[in-house]
Amino acid sequence: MNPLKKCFALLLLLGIALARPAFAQTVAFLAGEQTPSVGEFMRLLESELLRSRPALKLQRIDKVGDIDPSARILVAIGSKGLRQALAAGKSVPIVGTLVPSSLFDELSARGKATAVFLDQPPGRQLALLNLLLPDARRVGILVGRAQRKDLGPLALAAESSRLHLQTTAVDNREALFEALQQLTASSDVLLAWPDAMVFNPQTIQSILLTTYRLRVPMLGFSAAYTKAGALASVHSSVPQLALQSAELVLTVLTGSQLPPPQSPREFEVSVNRQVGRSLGIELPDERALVDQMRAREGKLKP
Amino acid sequence: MKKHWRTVGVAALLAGLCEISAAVPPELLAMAGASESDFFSELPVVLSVSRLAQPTREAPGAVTVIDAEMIRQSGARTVGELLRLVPGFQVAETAFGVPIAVYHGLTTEASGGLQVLVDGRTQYSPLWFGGVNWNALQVALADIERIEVVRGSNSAAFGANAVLGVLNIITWEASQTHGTRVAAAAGNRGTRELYARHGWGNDRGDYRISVEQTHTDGLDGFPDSRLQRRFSGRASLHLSNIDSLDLFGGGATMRQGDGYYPEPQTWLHDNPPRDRNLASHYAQIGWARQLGNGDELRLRYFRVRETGTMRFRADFDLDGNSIADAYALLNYDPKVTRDDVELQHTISGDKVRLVWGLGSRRDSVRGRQIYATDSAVTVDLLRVFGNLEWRAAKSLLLNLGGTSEHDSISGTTTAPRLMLNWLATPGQTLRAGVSRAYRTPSIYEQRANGRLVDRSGLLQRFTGSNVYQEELATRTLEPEELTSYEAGYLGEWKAQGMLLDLRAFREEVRRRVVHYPPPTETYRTWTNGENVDMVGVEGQFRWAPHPDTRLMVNHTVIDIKSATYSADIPNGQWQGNDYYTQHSAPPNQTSLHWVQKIPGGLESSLAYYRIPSYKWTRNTSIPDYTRIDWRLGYPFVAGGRKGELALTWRGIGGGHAEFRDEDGPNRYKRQLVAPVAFAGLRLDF
Repeated sequence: MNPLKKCFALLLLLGIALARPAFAQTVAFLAGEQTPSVGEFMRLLESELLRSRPALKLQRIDKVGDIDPSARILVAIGSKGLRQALAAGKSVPIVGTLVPSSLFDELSARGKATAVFLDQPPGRQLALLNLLLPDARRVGILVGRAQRKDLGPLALAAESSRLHLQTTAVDNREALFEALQQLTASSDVLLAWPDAMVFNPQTIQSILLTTYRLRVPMLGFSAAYTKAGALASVHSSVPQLALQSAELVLTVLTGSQLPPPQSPREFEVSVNRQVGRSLGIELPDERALVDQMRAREGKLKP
Repeated sequence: MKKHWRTVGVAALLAGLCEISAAVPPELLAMAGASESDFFSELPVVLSVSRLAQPTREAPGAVTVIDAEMIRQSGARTVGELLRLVPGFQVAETAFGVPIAVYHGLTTEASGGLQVLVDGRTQYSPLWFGGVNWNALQVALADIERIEVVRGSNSAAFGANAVLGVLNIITWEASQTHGTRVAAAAGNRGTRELYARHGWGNDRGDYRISVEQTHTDGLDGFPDSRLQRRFSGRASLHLSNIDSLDLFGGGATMRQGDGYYPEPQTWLHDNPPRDRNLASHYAQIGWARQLGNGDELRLRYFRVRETGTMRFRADFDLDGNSIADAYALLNYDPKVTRDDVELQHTISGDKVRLVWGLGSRRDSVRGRQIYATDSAVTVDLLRVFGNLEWRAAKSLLLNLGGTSEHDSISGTTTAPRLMLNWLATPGQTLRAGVSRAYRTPSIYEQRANGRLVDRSGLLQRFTGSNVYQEELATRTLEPEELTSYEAGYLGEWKAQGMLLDLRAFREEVRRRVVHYPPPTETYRTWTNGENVDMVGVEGQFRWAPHPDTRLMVNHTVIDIKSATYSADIPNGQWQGNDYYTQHSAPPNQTSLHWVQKIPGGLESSLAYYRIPSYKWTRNTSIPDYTRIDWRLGYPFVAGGRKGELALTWRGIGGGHAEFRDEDGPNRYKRQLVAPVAFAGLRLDF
């Protein structure tokens, strides 16, 4: 295509994009990987959107190229979906869902997309830590070297809670066990960090056995972690995330500027009573914990 | 992409309205990082109910845990020696083997009454006359992660023969020992040790193999040098998030010197120096399934095969005057096979936890010299067990459990236990309970037929028979019964680094088996013939006044009263038998342990024991003695590799006896403990 024609095409596209039909807005969904959680999330998100705006048109696509030219928003689901959406370089606003905040920064997506993150705000994790283990001061975190920079917000939150954050970065799986031993020996509690190189189904056994042997509890970031042997985890369920994502999509539909990405608002706490008992740690009721944590967050809001 | 200046200009204009993003570089796409699967995928249950140790204050009994660090700091070379760290235990270095250990006296030739398990495999061996062969435990010390010592009756949970206590030896999980480790030690008295281990893992599972060789010259004046070789392997396969398979396999050989040096001026050679060879192999497979909510199902099978070889010619003196002409060719070649299968189901709830299971075992022993037959002597065992743990109130825990066993020779026994734990405050626990336990007599005690057959014809001339009967089982014995009343206290003051563990007990033994010579017979036999009452208090106090200092004091006070009653036993022997039982444990004993980190990165570990006089066997006794053991360790890092250099000195001062102090000819020689000093180096890769 010669450059002049390209320009023309762009202007035409722009015109169409800005045309804004009075009704029948289209929202496109791009899921990178189809897993049961992603499927459940999509269903809940779609039903929530249709409940608020029955006239909305929803389009599921497999690649960005298939997107309906009239689509107002591209909802990218999952990390792969977000990567694809950003790589395609379309002009349509992107709402990332089921993505961790670290990926967002990695892809330099700020300004180009908004999102509802998967990972909890650092203050919330530390609030759980504080409620369950009021005497703990030294918090250990094990990450891959590439992820180290993502810990900035957590480090700040830790400082304001008078907790001492100890980070150990590893380059590969072999160095992991040695680093874990040393870190656990000098920590009161270990915080699991969503880094696939460090915390995956293969390493989880060694990690939990080592921390348990040294009587150091671990706080996880999913219900599966709690079941595996973490003392407790704070996480957001698929329905909770779907609801918040639907609200964000609706906000983007009605607004002109892309709002900043958000942390999950609603959350759940799961505790492992067997582990708590073995370590001699008193574990309150899960609902009571959520209420207490919500109350704390309520107080902190301006 | 070809860029024309005009297009660039227009593009720049439109950039404010459209969004043009550069193509994402491939490197970023390839980077690993978090994704939604990290948050939503299933994970295997690692801290399953069987891996989670019960907090000591909730245990229905007195539990002392010896962990890998304590094992390393003690400088012990055998499991028996580690029991010096536990209150209530008596340990002695003797000739012909590794140190032997018993709990609360009541010593027998073999440590019957103490159940020793390695990864769930019982080490109680029919080969060793119904006891624990401390010599041939199927585990290398360096492979042990921890030993849970339950002081006091635990038949209710561990079956018969856990009458006095249980040693639950647990080896490292394969996933915790990745990498390579080598260690070597050498010292005086022929002390030599070599150990190597390699562990690795992949997505399917974790694996480990270890090999070990140890040697010692034994005690002075006895041909009791010992060479042992062990290899063992462990594999843990992750079949799924809820299923795992654990495989164990290994073997050990031992060449132990036996017999006595012949005395000059006599021609009595009925116990000449010779080698006793022992080989054992085992294989075990265990499957565990996590059923959710802390429920678990386990199925385990193991097979052990042990063979012994000992052949020699014994010459013996018949009338006390002449040079011996009578001799017997002795061939002790026992073979034992054990098969054991067990199913265990754990159900956990908020207030209640139930563990129950079934098991079956078959022991088959072949040994012409011991049983006077070439056929196998077989014992079948069936057991059912269960324990209910009920949190009756926030601070009240009730444990009700029991094991019922049917032994094909000794009959059925049911061993119940009731224990109440009052968790008064987070740091103070009181415990009280009662339990009944049984020791089923061994195949040996029930079926022994040990005899010497004279080849020379001399015995025939004197006695009319060429058979000299040494041991003979003459009746079916009933199981020994032990009723235990216990009160315990556990105090923890974490801020001060203090811990106090006390156990007060009253243990009543009924129908204890007595080994005695009937009148006018050459052999010895067994009968249920004694009642024993034991009362006492034992305790441990730990204190860490400073992060670099750890102190531990053990003290035991015990009083034993015995009453022999059986008419089978000649009346004249009753008093002697009672005297022996009453003195089978010292009235009190104390030990002090001090671990200190020294500037320069050194670690010193000192142990001091004070043991008053007591008797191990009817014909032995020891006077009061003290013993000091010391180890100096230097952990280091060299070229990224961790290691430790250590100097160990055990039995400093020496010159005391821990088993037999009387001196006499031949078998009655004094067994003096001599100091052993050795240096060791360990490296991890």
